[in-house]
Amino acid sequence: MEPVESKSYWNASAKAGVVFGFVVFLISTIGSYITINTEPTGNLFSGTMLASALGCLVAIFGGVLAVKFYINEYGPEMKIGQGAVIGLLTGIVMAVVAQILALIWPVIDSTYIENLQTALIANIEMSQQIPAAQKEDMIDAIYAQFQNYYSFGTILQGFLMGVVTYGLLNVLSGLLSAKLMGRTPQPEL
Amino acid sequence: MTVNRELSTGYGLHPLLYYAVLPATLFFAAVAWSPPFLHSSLVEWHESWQRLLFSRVCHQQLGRTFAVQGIPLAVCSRCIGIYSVLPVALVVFSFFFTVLNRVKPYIVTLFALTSLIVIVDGAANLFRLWQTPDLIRLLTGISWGLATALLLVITLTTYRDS
Repeated sequence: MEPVESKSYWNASAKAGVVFGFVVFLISTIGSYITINTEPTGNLFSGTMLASALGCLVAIFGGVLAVKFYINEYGPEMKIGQGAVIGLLTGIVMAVVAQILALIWPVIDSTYIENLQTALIANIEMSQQIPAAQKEDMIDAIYAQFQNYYSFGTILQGFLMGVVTYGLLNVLSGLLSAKLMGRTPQPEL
Repeated sequence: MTVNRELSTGYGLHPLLYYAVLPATLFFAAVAWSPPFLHSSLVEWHESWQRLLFSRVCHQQLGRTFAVQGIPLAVCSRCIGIYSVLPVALVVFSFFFTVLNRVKPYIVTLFALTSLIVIVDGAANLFRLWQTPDLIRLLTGISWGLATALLLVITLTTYRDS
């Protein structure tokens, strides 16, 4: 009797997760540098926020790529549920990779955190959308947020948020991709 | 829910819809609406986990976000349309999955069209070609949410051997 090939999702998920984790980190960092290098206008629609919207659009394709890798490795027979699991695992890997790169980058550019903090605070100070009475509190909150950049709580929170958003986004793209690119397994006779 | 189980055509809805997709959309809708009911100041809103959760997928710009008693929702006016309509539409459309399954190409086209509208409108606002009112953003979000729900229902419609 021939041994049954055990199919692992991790290979496909890891490859796609690493690629898109890096892409998402890249978009986020570019957005931050846009914020840093733009004169403060008081408009809170900064490069960072732009990166958020674009990052979502890009991140959703992680599940698509992972399903493609899986099909290339094991063939097109797959169930929708498998696509969803592959997408979820891809989202988890994306969250890990993006979080690690976000922790490493300030070591490479030692002025990154300070410049981003300064740029965000400058925009808050000029903002007409935030009541004057609350501006100081917002600025204090920004300071505290960046002071705790490397704290365990902040890192864990960032990772969990990434898992929830990227994971669920890619569950949907994974199951859609499995439906479109895959083929329902035929029952053995 | 036996009404969605096997019919004469042999089609049914995949359990993922009930155990994963619908709970997830309900969770996101609840979290998106929650900040005005849990926080009393803009600072609390800014530090809230709800805002942080959606910060990866929404610009959350204050001027383009609906607020309740001065506290913004966790997402912008377009996104709140998406997250609000998605769970409701999934439930409603799931009762018509056999009909929807027959018009799959139109649903895919509708999804592509509404996606294009959202992308074009978002890009136009970003590059300041025009300024879309919040109500129109809400409507584009609702239309995209409806199209996504249709797409999910037909995706999760599977053929079951009796």
